[in-house]
Amino acid sequence: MIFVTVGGSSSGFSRLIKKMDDITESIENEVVMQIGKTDYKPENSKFFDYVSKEEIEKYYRKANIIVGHAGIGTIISSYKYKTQIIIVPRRKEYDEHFDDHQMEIAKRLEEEGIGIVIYDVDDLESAIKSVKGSKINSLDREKSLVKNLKKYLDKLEEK
Amino acid sequence: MKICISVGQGGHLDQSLQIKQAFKGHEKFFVTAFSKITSSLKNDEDVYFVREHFGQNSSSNIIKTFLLILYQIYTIPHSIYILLKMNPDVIICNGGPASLTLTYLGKILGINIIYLESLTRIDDISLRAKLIYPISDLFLVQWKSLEKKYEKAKYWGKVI
Repeated sequence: MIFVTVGGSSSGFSRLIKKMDDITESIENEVVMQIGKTDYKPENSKFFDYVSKEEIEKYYRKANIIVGHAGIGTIISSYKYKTQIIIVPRRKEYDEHFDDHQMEIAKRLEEEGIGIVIYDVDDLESAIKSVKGSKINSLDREKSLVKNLKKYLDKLEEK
Repeated sequence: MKICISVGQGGHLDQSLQIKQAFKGHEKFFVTAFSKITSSLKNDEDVYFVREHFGQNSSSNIIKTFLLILYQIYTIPHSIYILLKMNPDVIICNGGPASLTLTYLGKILGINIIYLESLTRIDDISLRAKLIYPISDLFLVQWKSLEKKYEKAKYWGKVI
């Protein structure tokens, strides 16, 4: 299953949802989309606006490919289930976000090898077809942050 | 020790949950905005819901700033209630609806203030972070370059 998600954002992301809907029939894989506030409603796949965190985890768990906006929550969840992620950053010029920080973060994460980044949705179909849906390695980079923060908190308690 | 985690509803919540292990052995509760996304959080955690910001998507900066100030005033009574009732020792802030009032009131009450800047902030910190920076006891950033830019900031790693 391919799970498409635009996250908890209060802006729509029609550019991605419409493109996914257009190419759904040529992809040999079930598509489910979380569309948030997107005006365009998919005709070729199952979709919903928002669900609880508990509920959305089920889709992350089931998917073998995630197509998502460049939100940290989306990327964290993909890594949690070791699922390949194709990132499509939201753009200010299309009113998909209040600034272009998703472009920035996508570029940096791409440099770090965190996922495939698509800037032009016309490249989405070939990107999906090139991804095999195999599991990815977790990064485990949060460990040093957790360790140091824990140390700080424990020290605070001693005082 | 009791920890108050002030957090937004989307990616910020995932960032905070990602480092949940750090809070092990301490009592914790969340303060966040109520939405379809956060509604299931109360099944596993102690949660206080505060009304979401208004006017975030306004295109005019003046209106946005005005609504933001109005919103902060609106959150004061609720924040006082939460802090007096729960009496936390530490506030960890990764955004969230009432983050400004919670941290400033918290500071007055002698609570330790930790700010964790979002991973999405690469070149500069957010306006909210700039406002909380002076009163924070620990200020964490997720990019090395920001550690150099802000004297007090510490880079201890990333959430992913």
